[in-house]
This record gives sequence, structure tokens and C-alpha cells, in this order.
Amino acid sequence: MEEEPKITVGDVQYLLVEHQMVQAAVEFSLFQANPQQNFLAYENDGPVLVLVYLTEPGQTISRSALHKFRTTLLEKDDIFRHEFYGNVVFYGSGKKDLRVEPEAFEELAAWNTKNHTFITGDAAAVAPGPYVFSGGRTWQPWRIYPDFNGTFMCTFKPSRKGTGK
Amino acid sequence: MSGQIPIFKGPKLIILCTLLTLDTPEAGLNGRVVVPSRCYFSPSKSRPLDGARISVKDNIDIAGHKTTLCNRSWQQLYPAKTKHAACVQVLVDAGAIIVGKAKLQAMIMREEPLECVEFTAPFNPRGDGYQVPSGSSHGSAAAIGSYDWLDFSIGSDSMGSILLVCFARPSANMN
Repeated sequence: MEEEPKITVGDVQYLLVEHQMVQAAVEFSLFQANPQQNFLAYENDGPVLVLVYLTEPGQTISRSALHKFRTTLLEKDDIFRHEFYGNVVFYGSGKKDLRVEPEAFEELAAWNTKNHTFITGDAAAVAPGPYVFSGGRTWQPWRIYPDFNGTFMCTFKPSRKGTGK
Repeated sequence: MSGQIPIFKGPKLIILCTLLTLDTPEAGLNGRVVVPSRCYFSPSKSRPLDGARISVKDNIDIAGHKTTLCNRSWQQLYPAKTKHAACVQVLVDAGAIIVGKAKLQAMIMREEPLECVEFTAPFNPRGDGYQVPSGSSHGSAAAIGSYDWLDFSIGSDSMGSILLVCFARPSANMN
């Protein structure tokens, strides 16, 4: 992995910021749990674009709920791109503790979702939204904007390591 | 908590992170700014600025980084700060994301763009881009006027440093 991991999706470039996360149990063979680093883990190295939707036991996943998620969060987010719809992860409750309405799958089809899966984990420790799985690790994509009017002296990125420069 | 920002969060988890330097465009136009997804954040009564993207004028301290006043000698003379300015800490505690330090007129004194010989003045987003950005908070004002992905820009005003930039051009969310 290069020192400054990046990914380009369409015409948008992202800086990948590592998301060190929580334990996950996985229900589908497409995913493998890696409690040390990831709450997502694919068998291949990726990169895989993922959209995370949080769930809790007893929750109903309906078309209207997914539609609301799209219109109130995703469509108002300048970071999100439709390519992230390709892989949807329902994170939090196991599938057996969820009620998924058949119309919800129609909504996912309308999003052009190719894969969806359910991962059991602590939804309180994860935020919904776009993620990238690459190089065996889970990343948050931070959008790179150019400072074309030369307004900044210096710009920042977050890190859990080091201090300042 | 000094010098760190809360980020990488879920509803009940906040992990403290350090701000590292991404770019130092200074006199150049090749600077980049990175911002996280708005989906990760949910403003609340206790964290009303959760996920808000904020730039800070470079006369206000950010832990781990030098406060340059846009003056090379000052930049070389003084070390990096060890803690955030109080006003920055209030914003960080409220959930704000500090994306970078904005230019100012050197030493917070009046300076026309042609006089900005150490660090070039920002371009004014209004009109043809060559109008004077005015006021010592010109970087903060130009940033909030230029970029719709930036939510707030922090300046300072002792003799019109914000008043002038707002007079010269509309600068909503300039604080």
C-alpha cells in the first residue's frame, strides 16, 4: 500500500483514511471477519466500494426506510457516489433478527446493488455511509477537493498515529 | 484531549485522532483539502457541529502546527503549538472537523495582494477573480466564498478584518 492511499471513483478522487474498527461476525461466505482491523473484510484485496446501512435486532428493513436513507443522507452527501450502491452491507443485527420486506430488495435493485449481505456487530460503533475495502483493510473515503483559489496555508488529514507534522 | 479531534465515530463511539499535515500550499495553488462523508455524523444538542467542516485563520492556534501569521520569519522563529486555541477547542468539542488553516494578511496588518510577497494572496471568487479580497481574514473569506463544501470559516477582527471582507463580498458563515 502506498504511503498516501487514494482511489478514484468516476471523476472524484478520495484519500483513504483507515477505519480501525470493531469485532464482526459474518453470515455470508463472501465476507470474513477480521476483529483486529476491520468491520468489513473481503476474500480478495479489493478495492471494493461498500455502502453500510445500520440495523438493530427486531428492525424492519422496508423499501420506505431504504428510500428515506437514500434521500435524507446519501443524496445530500457530496462524498457519496452511486458506485457505492454496488455492495450494500446491513451492519448490526444478524439476518435472523431482522424482518426484511420483499419490496426492500426491489429498492436495492433500483439502486443497481449487485451484492448485499448482513454482518453482525456493534452498530453503535460504526457510522453508516460509504466505505472502501482495499489491501485487506477497511477505509473511509475522504473526498479530495482542490484549493483552486489558494486560500489555505496548510491543510489537514486525520491520523491515529503521530502528532502534527 | 488537547490537540486531538474526535472522529471515526459511531453513535456511541468516538475515537480521538491527530491532525497531520496533508498539504502546505502556502504560496502555491496546488493545495488539496480532504473532507469526510456527511453520512458519518449526526448533529445533536450535545454535539451541534458534528461533522461541520471548518477552516481556521492562521493566527489562531492548532495543536501540533505552527501559527504562521503568514510571515516567514514568524514561522521560522516559533515552534508548533501544543494545544488548540480556546475558541478552536470549543468547536472541536462540538464535533467540528478542522480542514485547514486559512491565509491572512501578514502579521494581521493591512496588505494589498501585490504586497503579499511571502505568501500570495488568495483569489477573490467574486467577479473575474482579481478583485481585492480585502481585510486580514481574506483567506477565510475567500475560502467560504469559493467552496460550497466548506461549512464555516473562522476569522478574527480587531480593525475591520472581517467587516472588510464581508463588505467586499458576501461571506455567509464567516465567523
